[in-house]
Amino acid sequence: MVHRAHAMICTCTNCVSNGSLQVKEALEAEIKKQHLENDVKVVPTGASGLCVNGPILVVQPEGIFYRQVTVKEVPHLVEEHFLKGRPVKSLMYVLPGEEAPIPNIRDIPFFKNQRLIALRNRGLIDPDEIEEYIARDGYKALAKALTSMTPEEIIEEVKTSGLRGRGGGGFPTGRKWELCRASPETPKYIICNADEGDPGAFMDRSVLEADPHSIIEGMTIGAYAMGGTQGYIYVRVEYPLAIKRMIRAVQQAREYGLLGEDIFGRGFDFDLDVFQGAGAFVCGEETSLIASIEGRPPEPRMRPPYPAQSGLWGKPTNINNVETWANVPVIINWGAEWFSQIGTENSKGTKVFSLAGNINNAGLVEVPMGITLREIVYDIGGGIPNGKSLKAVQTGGPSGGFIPSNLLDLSVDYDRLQEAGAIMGSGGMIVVDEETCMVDMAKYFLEFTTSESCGRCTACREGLQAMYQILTNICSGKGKEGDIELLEELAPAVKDGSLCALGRTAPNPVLTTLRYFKDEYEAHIKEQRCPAGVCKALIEYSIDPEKCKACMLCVKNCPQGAISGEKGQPQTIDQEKCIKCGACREVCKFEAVTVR
Amino acid sequence: MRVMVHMGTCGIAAGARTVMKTLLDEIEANDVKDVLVTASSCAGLCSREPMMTVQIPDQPPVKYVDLTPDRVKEIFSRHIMAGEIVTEYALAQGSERML
Repeated sequence: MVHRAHAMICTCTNCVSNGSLQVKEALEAEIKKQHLENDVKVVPTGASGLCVNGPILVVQPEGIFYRQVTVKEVPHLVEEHFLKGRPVKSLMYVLPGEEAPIPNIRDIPFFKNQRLIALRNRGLIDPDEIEEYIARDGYKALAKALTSMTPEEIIEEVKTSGLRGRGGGGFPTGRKWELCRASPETPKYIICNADEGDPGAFMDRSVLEADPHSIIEGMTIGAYAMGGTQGYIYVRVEYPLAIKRMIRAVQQAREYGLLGEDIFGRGFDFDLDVFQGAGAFVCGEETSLIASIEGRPPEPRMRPPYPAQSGLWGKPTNINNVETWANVPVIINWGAEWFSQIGTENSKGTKVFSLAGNINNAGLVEVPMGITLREIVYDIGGGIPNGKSLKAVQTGGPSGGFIPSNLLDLSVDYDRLQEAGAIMGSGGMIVVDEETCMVDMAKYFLEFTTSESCGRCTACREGLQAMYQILTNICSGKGKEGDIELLEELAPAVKDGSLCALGRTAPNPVLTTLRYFKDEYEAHIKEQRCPAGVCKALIEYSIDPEKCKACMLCVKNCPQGAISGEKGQPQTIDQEKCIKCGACREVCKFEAVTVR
Repeated sequence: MRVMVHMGTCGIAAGARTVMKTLLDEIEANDVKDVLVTASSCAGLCSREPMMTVQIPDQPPVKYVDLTPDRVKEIFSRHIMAGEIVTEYALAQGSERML
């Protein structure tokens, strides 16, 4: 008999001593009296842990929690809750909404607007135990794919879902799989790109650490669809915990027969190995990654041929990003139609972002495509700390761009971000406040790409170096008339003259800051002024004698002993000694230290 | 009952290993046999790590944030042993929206 509801009455020692057995009898009698015995089942249970407030009654499936239930209240409770369907607020342990002792996680802004698909098991399972993954529908999609779908049907499903590469490029995943399947050569290789290298990005690491089996499952489904027999998970060596968990997961999957020979008795063989990369940024580019696995220097090569035709060791190869693979089992389980209802017209599903920089809630978020940047920064991220205002949001790391605060209502999808000059990228999102110098930020990213350029293409190797030098000059007060124009001329040349995405996207941080913050470049060059007060060569700290209360806090905190003055009188800064560290400004309680 | 210590790289960097050790020490010192302690991954809110989730059967899981050894000891005696949510350190209860 299937009951509509279960009344779980606690019969632990504590609750029994508070009369729970009598409540149980009263419940059964009352339920019978109301002719509800076929609808509601009374179940005695063990201690719930909150039995200091006993007797405890939990009504499932709603999960409504009643405390200190007495025999006297039972008739009212049965009539209201079970007959009329109105839970009795006065007896609830946690009142919905206002008087809850602590809020529900779905009412907290940080979690409220998130929707977990790739991160569906984050913080819920022990990633070292395959059973915990299986208990949450793990490997169910693999079983479904292998036993009830043809490879073509799987590819069609992925195509229909609208899933696009989460590594940054946004190439349709199903189309990529189709190309690899169509290649006649064998063997075929399946690769997971976990060479996450953008500064401030940690999405891939989190998925690997939280749910390694979701990647194994996704890759095995992909291998079956494309005809792959061997897979590699390319993780950079800087991620020791991710590597450890991944290796353990692969071993467990082998022990369970989910990797290896004759998987699910379908005559399908597939095995996986974890490959540890040395951590060069360029290895995130697929042809460089392939070269790295082959033991060659990680330099990109011309495409075509694409890896789908000639990849690892000259054989057909499919490479997808960590997050892309983690989405695959969900698409197979829930169907393409379900998946394609989430997101926007051309960007389906969710995207994981690592939220970092000047933001209150730094962390890992997964949001449906189409959400606005404003919702991410203010609702989820909790806004900018210390009462400062937002200046820009950087997406896509060194390959991406800055989006100014006036474009905050931009919808987050592949196309809208591209129109704004940025890219979706792999999901790094750095929030910067008003005290950030945009020329300095552009310089920071250029410094990164200059040192990470593999050196193969002259335009990238020399061009980025030249751009970096100009930015360094501007920041150190040596900027001159024509520098902006030269940057604007160099940027497309670097893009055009580079083989891979590193060079083709590296000028983006400069281009977007020039597009949205040109006035800051001009202030540096023409007025020898850094409006944000960051570039040391262009700023000077001083103390406003009107505001200084002679508390001497700045004097105590100055590492150079550069601040002095008479006792009880406004202090002054010796510009010769000052190293412009800003310590005085940070400690001053009266905002007397100014920078210009 | 199950207690999960969120041990992603972010959690470990913020002190999750000490949290785990304190919890295991408390369990051993009090000879508790019915609490399952496991490691789990980043819970998303990296800026509030170390974090821990206390999951009593039939009740919504409770997430604790900004943990220190002293706070873990308090949560152990009040919540894990006596069933009282330590509201001072708790962030929220329930589970996130999945799928």
